[in-house]
Amino acid sequence: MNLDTIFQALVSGILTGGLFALVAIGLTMILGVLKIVNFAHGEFLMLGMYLTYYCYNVLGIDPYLCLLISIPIFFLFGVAIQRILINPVLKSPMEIQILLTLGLFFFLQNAALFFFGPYLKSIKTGYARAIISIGSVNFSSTKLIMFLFSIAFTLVLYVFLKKSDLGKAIRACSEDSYGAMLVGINVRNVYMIAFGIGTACAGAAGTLLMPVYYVDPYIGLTFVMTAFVVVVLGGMGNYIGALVGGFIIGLTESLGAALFTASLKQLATFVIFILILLLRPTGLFGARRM
Amino acid sequence: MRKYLVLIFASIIMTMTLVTPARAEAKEVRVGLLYPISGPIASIGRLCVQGHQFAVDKINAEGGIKSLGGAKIKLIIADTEGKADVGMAEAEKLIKQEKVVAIFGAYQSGVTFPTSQVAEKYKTPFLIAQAVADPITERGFKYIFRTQFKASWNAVYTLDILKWLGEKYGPMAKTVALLYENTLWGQSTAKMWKRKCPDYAFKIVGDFSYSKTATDLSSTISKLKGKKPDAVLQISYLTDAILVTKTMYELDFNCMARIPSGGGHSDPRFIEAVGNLGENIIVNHMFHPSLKGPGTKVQDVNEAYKAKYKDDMDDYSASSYSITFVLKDALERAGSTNGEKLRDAIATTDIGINNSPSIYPYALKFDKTGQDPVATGIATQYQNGKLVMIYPEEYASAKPIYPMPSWKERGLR
Amino acid sequence: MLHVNEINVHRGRVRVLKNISFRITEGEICSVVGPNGAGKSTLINSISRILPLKSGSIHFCGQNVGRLPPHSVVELGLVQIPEGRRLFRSLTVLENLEMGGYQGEGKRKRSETLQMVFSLFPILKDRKYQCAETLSGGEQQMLAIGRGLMCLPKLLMLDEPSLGLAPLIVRIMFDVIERLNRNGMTILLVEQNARKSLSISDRGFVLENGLITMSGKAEEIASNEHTKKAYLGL
Repeated sequence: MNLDTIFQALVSGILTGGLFALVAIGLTMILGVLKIVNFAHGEFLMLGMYLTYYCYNVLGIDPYLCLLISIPIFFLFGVAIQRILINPVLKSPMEIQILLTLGLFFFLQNAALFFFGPYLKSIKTGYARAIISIGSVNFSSTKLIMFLFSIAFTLVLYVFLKKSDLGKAIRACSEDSYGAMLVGINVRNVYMIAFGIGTACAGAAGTLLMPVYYVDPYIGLTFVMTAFVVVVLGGMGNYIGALVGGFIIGLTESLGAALFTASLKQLATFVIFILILLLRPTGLFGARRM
Repeated sequence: MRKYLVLIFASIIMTMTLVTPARAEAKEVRVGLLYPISGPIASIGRLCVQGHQFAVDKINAEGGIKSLGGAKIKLIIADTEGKADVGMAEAEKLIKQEKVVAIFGAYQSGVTFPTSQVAEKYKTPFLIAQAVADPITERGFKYIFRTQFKASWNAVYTLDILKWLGEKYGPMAKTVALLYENTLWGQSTAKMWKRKCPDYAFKIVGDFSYSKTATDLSSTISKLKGKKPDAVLQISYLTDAILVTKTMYELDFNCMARIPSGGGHSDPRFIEAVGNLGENIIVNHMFHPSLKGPGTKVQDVNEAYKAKYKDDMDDYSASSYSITFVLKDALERAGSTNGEKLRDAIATTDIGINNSPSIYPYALKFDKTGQDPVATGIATQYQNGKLVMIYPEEYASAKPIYPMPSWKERGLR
Repeated sequence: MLHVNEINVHRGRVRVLKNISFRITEGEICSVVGPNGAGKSTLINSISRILPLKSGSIHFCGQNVGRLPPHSVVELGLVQIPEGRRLFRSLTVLENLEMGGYQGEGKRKRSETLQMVFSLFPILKDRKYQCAETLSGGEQQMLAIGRGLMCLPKLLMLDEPSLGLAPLIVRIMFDVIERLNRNGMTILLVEQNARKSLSISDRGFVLENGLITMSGKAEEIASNEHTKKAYLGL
């Protein structure tokens, strides 16, 4: 085992960890505020990737510029989904809610299959080939951009939740929606906005992922499984936990592959998942803390 | 009222299920296709189906199965979604509900393994044109036939190519690394490499398996780079083939030769996704349109195919196309669609190279296990964005580029 | 000011409130007395619009609020301090108070109201940046009242404000309620501590099994033999 491989694994782990965090933060927001386990979250990411693909290939819009399109579109998409589908089941038993989001998952996946076809698609940008080398450690510029945007997006979201009235109201609702109603917060609106933001996170993550990876209708599940582990690891509804959890999982996967074998890397992730569930079900940082 | 509606509905369904096959049986031979036509490797599965369809259209146009009164072959397509459990259920459905006389499938070794078992159980011939894992034809089954070489033979073939490159063009590779996806296909091939490498004096310096759903392979490629192998022997499906290639470029990994076996690297979408990063990869497979067969047979079939589907034939369509004639030949000789009779006819297949409708570069016949003992492959290399034949030399259309220039030498980094 | 007219409220299949009618006039303190399970919290929650009315109407300051969503009722100045406080536990004291003044008039006058709340409960000012859950029970009740005041209530409804608090804190709570009332706030008080609450109230009524069984001046209720035995522990 040489040191170069370890450094490379650390850098790769942190870079992918940033993306995991962004996907997980959207998921954790929806879970924390609406108490809904959103199985369709990965499909929003998949749709974000397709949107970026078509923006680039048909309209010639740069993928990073496409963030300006995907964030508002997915915000509105999330608001609509919440309004039409999620809202009616908010007071229903958990099984009903899970069936609904699972149904949405299958629907979106099959819709993608129908409209976009089963073949994988990828985009080739000019800068996708730009490699950054620091000593023996190499990584592509697109991964760095993905990481920086993910972190920036997460931080903006954090400041928004921490400082703005609306952000505080979102946290208040996730804490005690009944109490929130009694102080005059329009909880229904907050739910829609929170779901919109969560969806926008997934859409933005899809856009950032597109220059790095490829898209097919099945891509969502790969990422959402990891995101669920991150959410549980960080504590459900905990935003800082999701960020830290993203890095932990990113590093576990890359170091696991470096020290053992890549065949086991997802295994390592799920071992962590099971250990957390057994030993610390509230997650590393406890539920619902900023 | 509701009761009546239910009754009417139920009787419509029953009529449909009872009448359709009965009417069909008279002039049709129903044959099942079991391939992944949705899911991550759907593009490959669809090419397989296309190859069968092309062959069947030709057979039907030329008068169908003459010994069965000119019966036409009808293909019933079932989707495995690339999953073993789905495949098994679909195989059972093909046999029991669709009443197919034989099944072609299922591309992936991991899916072919259990689905062919279903066919064996119901005494329905199962013909395999692509799945290469050794054990598939080593289970003592009676109804399973494979015209593709075994993974282990192919593994040896890869080593032959590497040795040939070293001897003819030099320098000889001394160290190799194995890089493979961790399902049956990758693992069985890797096992064979490990057994055979000492015979060729190749030293295995790295052994890396990975999950084909991995989202990042930086650590694996970084470890591979640390081992400094002369050549990389690889088994990958499509998405992981793309990821490996991109990551090798990202981490500036260079070697004298990269020889993956078929799979993802020969999928047209591979080169589309990686562009010139795929240049000079040597792909080991079983068919190529530039193959010089006896006469102009291969080119003729390929031209007709191209006219219809706007694309050259590839491993998948060509192997599916060829194996379809094994069934046609057997049906003619059996003069029956009875499972046992058909099975015996297939077992005694003997289609030579020269006058066969198949476009395989070898004869079609089966040993006791149902394996074609003379099956072999060819090697191609990506040159200027296209695959060209490089080995065996008597069929070759271009000279190999060896050793593979580094990313820097190619001006990519 | 508040006119509740013939309301019926169900929880599941159980009819909890049966044809309840009463009025609250501006500037008074009115107490609701009754055993556990009589429907006192249900009554307050129906006025807050958390629970739907089966029939009947509620008018506040002349406006029909029977169909409004809960947050609009708050904006009109009809504010509830719920039983169990329902604070935002991981938010700071200041953030909790800010959430009180989340919308409308409350938001515009937020900084003034904040000063008023801090002068009423100086301890909250010292604990401004602490998480609500780190406060003691008494401080949490103060925060709950403070948060309610941030909504600029015209009618403040308190549900069991002295529940589980030490006697000293209970006295402070009642002092505060009286002070708020002297400054012109109308108060609807639901209390298990009936003697204490009736002693500061102008009027009161008794709720038993979802029915109003008695209403009148606070002293009359306090001196009634039945209520004395049942709720005042005399």
